Amino acid sequence: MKIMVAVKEVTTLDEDFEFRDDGLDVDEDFFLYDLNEWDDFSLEEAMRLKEESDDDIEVVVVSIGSDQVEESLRKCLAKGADRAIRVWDDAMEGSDSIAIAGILAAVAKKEAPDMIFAGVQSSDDANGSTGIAMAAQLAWPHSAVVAGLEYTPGADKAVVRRELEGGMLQEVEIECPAVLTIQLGINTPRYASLRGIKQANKKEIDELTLADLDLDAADVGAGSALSNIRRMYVPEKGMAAMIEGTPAEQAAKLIDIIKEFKGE
Amino acid sequence: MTVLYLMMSQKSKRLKLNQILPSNASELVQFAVQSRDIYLAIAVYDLADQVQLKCLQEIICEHRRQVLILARWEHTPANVLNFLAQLSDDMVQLRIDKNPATDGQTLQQQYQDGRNEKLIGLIAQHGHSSAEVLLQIATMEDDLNIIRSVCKNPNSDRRVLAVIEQRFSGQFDSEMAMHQQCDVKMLEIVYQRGNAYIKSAVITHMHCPKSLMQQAETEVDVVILRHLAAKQQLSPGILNRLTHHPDSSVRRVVAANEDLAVDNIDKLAKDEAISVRRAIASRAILSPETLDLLSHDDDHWVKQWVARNSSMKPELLALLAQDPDDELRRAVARNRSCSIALLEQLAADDNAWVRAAVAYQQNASAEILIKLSDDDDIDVLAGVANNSNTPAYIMQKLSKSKQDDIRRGVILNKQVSRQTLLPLLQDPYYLHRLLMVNNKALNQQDKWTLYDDPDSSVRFTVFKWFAGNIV
Repeated sequence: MKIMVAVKEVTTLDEDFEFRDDGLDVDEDFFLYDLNEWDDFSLEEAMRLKEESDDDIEVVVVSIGSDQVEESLRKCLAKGADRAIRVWDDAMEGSDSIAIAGILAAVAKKEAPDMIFAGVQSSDDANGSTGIAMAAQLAWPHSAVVAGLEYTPGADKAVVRRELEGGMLQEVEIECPAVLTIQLGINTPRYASLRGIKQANKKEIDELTLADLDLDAADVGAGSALSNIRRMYVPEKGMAAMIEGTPAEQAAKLIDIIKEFKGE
Repeated sequence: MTVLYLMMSQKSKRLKLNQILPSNASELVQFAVQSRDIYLAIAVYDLADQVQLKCLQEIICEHRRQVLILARWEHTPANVLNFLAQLSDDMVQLRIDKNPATDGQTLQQQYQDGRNEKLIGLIAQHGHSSAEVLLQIATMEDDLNIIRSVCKNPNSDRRVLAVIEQRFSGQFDSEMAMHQQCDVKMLEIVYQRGNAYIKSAVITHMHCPKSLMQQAETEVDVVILRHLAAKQQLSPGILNRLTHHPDSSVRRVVAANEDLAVDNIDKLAKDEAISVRRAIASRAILSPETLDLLSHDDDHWVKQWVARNSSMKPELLALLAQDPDDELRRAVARNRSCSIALLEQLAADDNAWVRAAVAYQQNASAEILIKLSDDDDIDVLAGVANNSNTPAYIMQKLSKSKQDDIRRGVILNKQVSRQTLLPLLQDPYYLHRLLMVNNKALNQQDKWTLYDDPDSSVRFTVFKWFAGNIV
């Protein structure tokens, strides 16, 4: 039994930053890196199944990116993942989420997992499409925004609870193997133990290239992208006014504003 | 000699480092230099000699990304920020001017270097800007937002405020009235030309002269009278008059005034306005009769306040301990005068939040805490872990809990032993390891085990602690 977890090392920003000269992204110097928050929950769900099962379950984490992403993969190993795979080739630079899904699908064909988890979305690009596109390329059943999972490893069906608008949940029976995109809050992700971190630092990370996955350079990278970024910018800020004065005066002004909004 | 590998930077460089505890400052700095870890480098920065300093500066400046991170990090030592301020990088300058750890000397230099309006605005509001810099800004700048920031800055002294008054008379009266450095003369000027809010701020000012207080007593505006009612050392006559004011917001403030006479306290304890009775109930010192009266109030907040009062009679506390309101029973459990018998009763309460209050009670006996240690509620167990009356063997048991809050209770327990803490040096939650660095129950050798911690803030805290204690 094998569960594949697709993870991404995302970028975060402080409030002050500069754009690259080409205006297509933020200058790399301002990036902070971390494991995508949704993927932390995906990994925890895989670990929960592994630890609750009497059968041997292998949890394999997969990420696409240059050697920078090893940091996030080691975090996953420190939390208990059995194996980590990093896929990279310079030709993959600029791949859109559909191409990334194609690469992950190729890894899935090679690894033949019984279940695939991915985060609902990544916090930096927020496309929310990679997991579902991967399912499409594999022609596997899929379920998005999964907030609850009942699954006995090895079973041919699982029951998932999907999060919908208005606080509703939708209970769905799905055939397995399947791709599930996992929502925040489905579990409580663990912290990696110090022992786990030290052991993870010693583990090898498998590295795969396009050739290893029988993929062609034309299928990936900026050239294959179905959408292209034209520019990235900070829009002009809207109207805002500071309420000045003494605290009592500020409170009185605030009350006036609230009354005005309420039409009193 | 035993060696360990220290994981450093995100590029997985590894260096062999001696794991033996450095015996002096020079060895500690040398360790940081060899590690090439920026967090170790900034932690020992103030200890380095000239040669070492150059090495540390090289480490710190190796990558612009790191410099940007350090310029923004609120724990970066002031001397490191001072060094970074000398780099000609506008984004670094911006982050340094926003950083609350930047010292006055650096800010002074930044201002003298003639930066743009945005940076001057940040210097104007920075908590470490000196009066001298603020005076220069008040004298030289025309932007009203910058001047307002100067006027709000607590480091502005009377000279600065005088310059602002001279250049922008009447435009910043609210800020002047609230500024602690505003002198009597200025307060008088601001009061005379101010609206009710500004007059109110002047009245509450620590330097407000008696003449203005007397003038305020003749005002009819409720906002002014409400602020006047909060002042100490008002005459009994004016306090009595405000006690009878028709506006309940004025009576509420009087009810909280420490100088209020006993007969007026008793009177306001029967006030028709709930807010007034709540203010009375929150007073630390109340007569037994008033406590008795308020214990039977219809308002649950009034009863909660008196349930916390340490002068409550045992029979009244026992009565409130049977109230159906969970929050009220919790308030009784938090009362430091609550008897052991009552705590035992509340330790068996159906509501976990009430039991948690017992678990945190400093009067809770070891017997009560032992019973509560079998509870399955996290808040209750965290309280037991935190309580200094908890027996050592219970703390050891709780230190193995899977719940962060419970283990943190053990770490923060003032009576926790070194033996109980030692396994927690391996706690998976980085904040717990960070808290251990300053724990007095652990010795230097124990703390040194964290020198290669995977979390940068833990490593920084460890080296900062040794920098302050090894010398």
